[in-house]
Amino acid sequence: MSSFHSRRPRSLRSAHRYRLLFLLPILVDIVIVFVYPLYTNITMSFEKYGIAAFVSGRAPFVGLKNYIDVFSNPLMGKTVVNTILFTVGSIALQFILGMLLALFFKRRFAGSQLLRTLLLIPWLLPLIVSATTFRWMFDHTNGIINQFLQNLHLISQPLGWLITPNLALLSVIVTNIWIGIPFNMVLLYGGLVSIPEEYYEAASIDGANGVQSFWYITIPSLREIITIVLMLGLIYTLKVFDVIRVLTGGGPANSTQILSTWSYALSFTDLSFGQGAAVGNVLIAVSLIFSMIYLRVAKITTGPAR
Amino acid sequence: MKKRTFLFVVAILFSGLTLPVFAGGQKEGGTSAGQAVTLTEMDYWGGDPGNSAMKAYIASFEAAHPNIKVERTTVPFGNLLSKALTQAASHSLPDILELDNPDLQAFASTGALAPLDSFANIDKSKYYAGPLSTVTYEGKLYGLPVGNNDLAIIYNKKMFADAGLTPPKTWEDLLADAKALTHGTTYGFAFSAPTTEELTWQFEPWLWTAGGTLRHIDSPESISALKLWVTMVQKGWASKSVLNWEQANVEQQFENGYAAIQENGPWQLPLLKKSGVDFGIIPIPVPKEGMSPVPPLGGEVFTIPASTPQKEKNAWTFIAWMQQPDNLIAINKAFSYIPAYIPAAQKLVQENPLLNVFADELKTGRARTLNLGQNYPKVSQIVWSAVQAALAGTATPEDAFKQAQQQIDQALKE
Amino acid sequence: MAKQGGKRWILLSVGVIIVVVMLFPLYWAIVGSLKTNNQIFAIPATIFPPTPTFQSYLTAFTTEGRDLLSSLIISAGTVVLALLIAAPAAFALAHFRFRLTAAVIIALLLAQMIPPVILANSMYVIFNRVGLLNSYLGLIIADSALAIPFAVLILRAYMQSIPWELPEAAFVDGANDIVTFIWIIVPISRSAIITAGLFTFLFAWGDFLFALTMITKPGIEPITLGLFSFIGNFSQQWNDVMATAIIASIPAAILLVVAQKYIAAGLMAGSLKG
Repeated sequence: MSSFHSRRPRSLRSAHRYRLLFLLPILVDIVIVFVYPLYTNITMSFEKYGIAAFVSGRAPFVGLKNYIDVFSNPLMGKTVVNTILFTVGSIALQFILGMLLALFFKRRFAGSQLLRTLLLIPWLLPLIVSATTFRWMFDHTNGIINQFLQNLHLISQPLGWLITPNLALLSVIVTNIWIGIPFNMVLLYGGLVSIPEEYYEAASIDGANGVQSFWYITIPSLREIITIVLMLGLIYTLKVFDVIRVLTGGGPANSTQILSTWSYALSFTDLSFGQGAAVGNVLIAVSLIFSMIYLRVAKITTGPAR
Repeated sequence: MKKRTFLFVVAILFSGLTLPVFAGGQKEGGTSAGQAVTLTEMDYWGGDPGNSAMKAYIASFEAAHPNIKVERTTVPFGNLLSKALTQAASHSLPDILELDNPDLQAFASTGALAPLDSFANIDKSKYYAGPLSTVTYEGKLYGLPVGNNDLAIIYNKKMFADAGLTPPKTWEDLLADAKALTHGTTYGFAFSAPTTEELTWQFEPWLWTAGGTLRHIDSPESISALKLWVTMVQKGWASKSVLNWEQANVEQQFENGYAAIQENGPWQLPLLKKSGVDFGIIPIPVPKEGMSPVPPLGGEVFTIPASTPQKEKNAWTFIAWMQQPDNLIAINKAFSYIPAYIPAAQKLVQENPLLNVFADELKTGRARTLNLGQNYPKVSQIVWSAVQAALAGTATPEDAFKQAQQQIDQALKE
Repeated sequence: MAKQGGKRWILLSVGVIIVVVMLFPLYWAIVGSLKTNNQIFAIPATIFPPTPTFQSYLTAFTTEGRDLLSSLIISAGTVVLALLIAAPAAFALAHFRFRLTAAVIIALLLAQMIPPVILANSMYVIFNRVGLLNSYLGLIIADSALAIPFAVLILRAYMQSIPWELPEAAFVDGANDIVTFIWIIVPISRSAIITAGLFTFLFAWGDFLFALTMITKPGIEPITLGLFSFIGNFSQQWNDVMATAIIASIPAAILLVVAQKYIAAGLMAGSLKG
């Protein structure tokens, strides 16, 4: 492919500059939606930003004090652990279940398209709705989940899904998984149906069984897709906030507090905006690292595709 | 779909939208010049009874002041403070701002509110001291309460009669009664301990009545209050679900017969009356005979964000009119609160004797922000986390509060 | 042959069971909307509403009916504005050579990771200054701003796969870029544009935070805000909340059924090709 530029007549090279106009609105958008908020957040994290500063806009510069305070806060350790558990748990299970569902639906049968469509519904409901419904279902005294489990004789006493510290984190993870399965399923399904059937036929002729086919054909063929599903899932999970706020508010006793909810609590409950911003920046930095990895894997190209 | 049809649909969509889209956009604030005045107001009563109460009040206010129109906005309870702060930062607060009373101290400290004495003469002696302290910052009044509420014990008369019990007066009584009344799906006692201010609010009567304080949360008195709660839950006389219940849920439990005794406030009276349960109200039990209950003071206040003297004066009309005894009684009736204005309170209690206990407790009630001022939210959050840890069993009451004390000391230094 | 048929029935049954389990929370929300508040919290919880009533829907519709219209206006407006900006940008990023391209792509990716609360507050400051609060236009711009990055990524991926010869041919014939874009690229990218539009619509329809932040006067609340009017600090009308939520989810459901083919295609394009 020869460069489009070199083949262009001279008179049209000036047209190139006006092509930037195509990009102008989006550059403006990037400033509004990314550059400016990021700048505000970074400066705020270096200032002693209490409620008075919030209102007056003037805040004393305190260097790294907010970061030091936040990192030496005993809650930080717990919050980071919760965040890791929440994120890994959510993504691992979303992925595995999504993969299982994708494999299941790979076999064509009457009604499979309709069923697959229906499974997308969790992903499309407003988060407030999903979270509230799960909050009812998990209720200790009248939640339907406890009722089911007790009727099936799987448990003898109702479990405190949202009120026992360890269980609360699990409940929140389960809810998040439910919300995230459709996204995983669709992407993996799309990849699965584009693996040439001949690969599997050749393998079965050679005597490979189902598990071996999966391991040696399916997974390698999906390598790029799998990496991307995991990356995007990670980034969107780090942002999760509404779900936890509605289900447990971060409790009981901070057992479901993760970095995103803690950042909000620091800012709007404790009214320590500088610290909230510091935690928020930690989150963005983590996202940045993973997005770099994503860019590597997805091999962003910068010109016309060929 | 043909290309033409597609573009046609897009065109219709776009043109059909331009009309409403360009309607309704205005810059913030601003009352029109001349006689007609528009006041903007913000509160968090999107649901009833607050919503109807405010609508009724505004209707009567506008009827009495034909040249004033009130534009009211509601936001969810949990978002009011953050919304108000965002607006304060860009000097676009409404003319009248409602706040939950513990938030007033912090808000006033920012200078975003106008002190009332520049255009109002308020006879402080006619108000209960406690409620008035909630709206006082550095000696000046920054708002006036709509009304106040507190917490008391509501019990199921039938369950008590069946068990041959008399209403509890001391903590020992309460524990014994709760034990006796727990059977089947019914718990003896129900209270609210979720991951929000509601927990601290529900905990404060016990804490303060015992002589403890938030500042010294690791004192023996403070810990004794926590031990009361922990005993209730550990022994199974109160459900573990208290950790996720809001006061509304506690009320539901009581109404459905799943709790014999509940800790709740006067705003539940309308629901209680409708429920058909034969209920009684008694003050918060005390650790030892002879002590008096010290409940926290709840309720909302109306404040005037600082702006131009003329706007502030107009906003004051709104608040002043509400404080007229008749209007005050009407709106407190709707909310099921108790006025802070003593003559109105006395009249209201005469009309509605069910408010008796709540009104009495108001006299010994304490503002939550006492001694802590704008640090109250921080401290409250530390305390509610600690209480939850003890209730959930992940820490002993002593350890939970010792840790909390360290955190509080640290937080107050910053 | 019989074995084939039997296998299909098994698969179908398993599929149905899976869907029933996965969609149970949705069912639960619907059941809640048909119960009274006390029935919702009764012990034991009942799978079927004991005395099904549409009272909540009536309440929801009469109080929130206007909000539905608001949501529609805002969402539709967001789709139009977002696509108007995203499509040309995607085309440019796909086919023109800029030194900026890589940086822009990275910025678009990272923009999706800024915590929404920070975004909302920054936007409030800007919008207040230019007087765009409390207006449909303001909210549409705000929602579009957030929806555009994802839309651009999807559209760009698809447009990259358009063979370059097509627009080049038109170009040699004398057409300039804008004409090429409108009359050739857009029709070809129809399916991707519809997909991007769908995602944008769903995002705007479910937005709560921006609506909460940008609206300071009554009049144009979308239904996500209206939902909260039933959740007070002292009492909550849960059956009304659920009814409102179900009503609020209907457009999502309709769109889903109508355009499921496009959604599946769109999800893959945006993530894979980057």
